[in-house]
This record gives sequence, C-alpha cells and structure tokens, in this order.
Amino acid sequence: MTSLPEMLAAFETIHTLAGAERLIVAGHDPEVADRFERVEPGIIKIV
Amino acid sequence: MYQVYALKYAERDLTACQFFYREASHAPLTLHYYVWLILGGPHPILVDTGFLDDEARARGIRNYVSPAAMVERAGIKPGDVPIALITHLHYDHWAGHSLFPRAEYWIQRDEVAFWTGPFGRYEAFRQSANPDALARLVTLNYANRVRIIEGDREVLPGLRVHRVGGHTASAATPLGSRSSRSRPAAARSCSPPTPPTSTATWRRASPCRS
Repeated sequence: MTSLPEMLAAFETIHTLAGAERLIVAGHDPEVADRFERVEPGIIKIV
Repeated sequence: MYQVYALKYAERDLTACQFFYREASHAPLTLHYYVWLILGGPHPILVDTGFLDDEARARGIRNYVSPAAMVERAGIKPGDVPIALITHLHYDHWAGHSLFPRAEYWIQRDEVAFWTGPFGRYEAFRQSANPDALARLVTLNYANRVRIIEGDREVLPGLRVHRVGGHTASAATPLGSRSSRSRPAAARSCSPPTPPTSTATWRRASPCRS
C-alpha cells in the first residue's frame, strides 16, 4: 500500500462507479468461483 | 455486450494478518491469483498478466498454471491479445507480460513513475516487485508496446478504465453490469488491503445479456 487515504477514496470511487448494480469483483478472492458461474476448472464467468 | 471471465492461475496459503491491513488474526487464508479476459468486443482485452513459473517456485505459490495456458483454455491465443490493461505493477499482475508477446500494455502514468522511481529500494515495496519485469517497462516503451495513460480512459465502447490510487501509486479496475443470476461480490471479503492503482470499469449502454 502506498497511501491509506487514497485507498479509502478509491473504495468510494469503486462503489460510486458500481452504482445501483453494486457489482464489485474483488481480486484474489476465492469466493469469486462460488459467487459466479464456473465454466470449467479455473475459468469463471463473471458476466 | 461483453463477457468477462476470471481465469485462476495460482493459489497461495497465508494468514489474514499477512494480507489485510492492520489485521491481527493469524487465521489461515487462501488467495487466488487471477487474470481476467474481456470478450465480445472487436478483439479480446486481457486484464493483468500474472507471473511466470520461477516466481511461483520462489514464493511458494501452489497450483500454478501459466496465465497464457488459461487464456488459451478460454479460447484465445496469447499472441492474439492486442491490449492488456495492467491494474498495477505488483509482480503478480505484471511479471507475466512476456506471455502475451503482441499486447500493448496500458498502465497508469503514476504507477510507472512509482515503480521506476526512488522507493523501489525499500523492502516494503521491493517485496511486491519483480525488478527484472519492471526494468522491461523501459525497453517495451521504446518498442512502442506500452501505453502510459493518465486517469480515466475509454478502452472500447462501454469499457472504461478508472484510476484508483492507494494500493499502489495509481491503478485501474474493470467494472461490469451483472447478469441477473449473479450476486454482487462483496468488496470486503478478501479484497486486497488496498485497491489496485488502476480499475477497469465496463459499462453497458444496453442491458446485459452476456
């Protein structure tokens, strides 16, 4: 991390950009494979 | 309009306090390493490039599969990727760039400046860096393979990249409309302690049919 204030501002930016759809996909998160469609091992369709 | 895929290429076991900022817990945590593929436009867009197998061995990362092999498994030849959006320059996002030999790499200006600048000598940052891969930024730029961008930029119609700082000097993130089946992914659960410097966001003019 290089800047906590910038990071917190970035989270706000990301939520604003996501808007009403509220879809934010976290990097490095193993739950991505559970929350979205597994096409084949290691390949997950987000949209 | 666009289809977005997460392609997992590695896993790593560590503890919560090694990953989350100011986290005291030593609870075990598994990280997944992804590159992302955006299809449905005039050409594929790759987001991040992963790393090479030497890095997996050196850092004790398991279940490594080359990100290029994952892209191929998703139906795209690695040599046919014309644009790779680099969210930030940590080793796990940049050290695999040579796997995509024809890509133009889009990177935020502040991010390039940071990792080629004065702070690389400090362990706090060096531990996230692959210095050889970072050195290639210069030669790749002179070979016209790096597009240094500043702030928010359209990549393709309805697909934008947004700068978000803090995790590193400046990052970009993709964002997309979701299909009705998917639940929103919590930003909190296992997101890195800081967002990447670049965020690609894709917005659709029409409802998502994926």
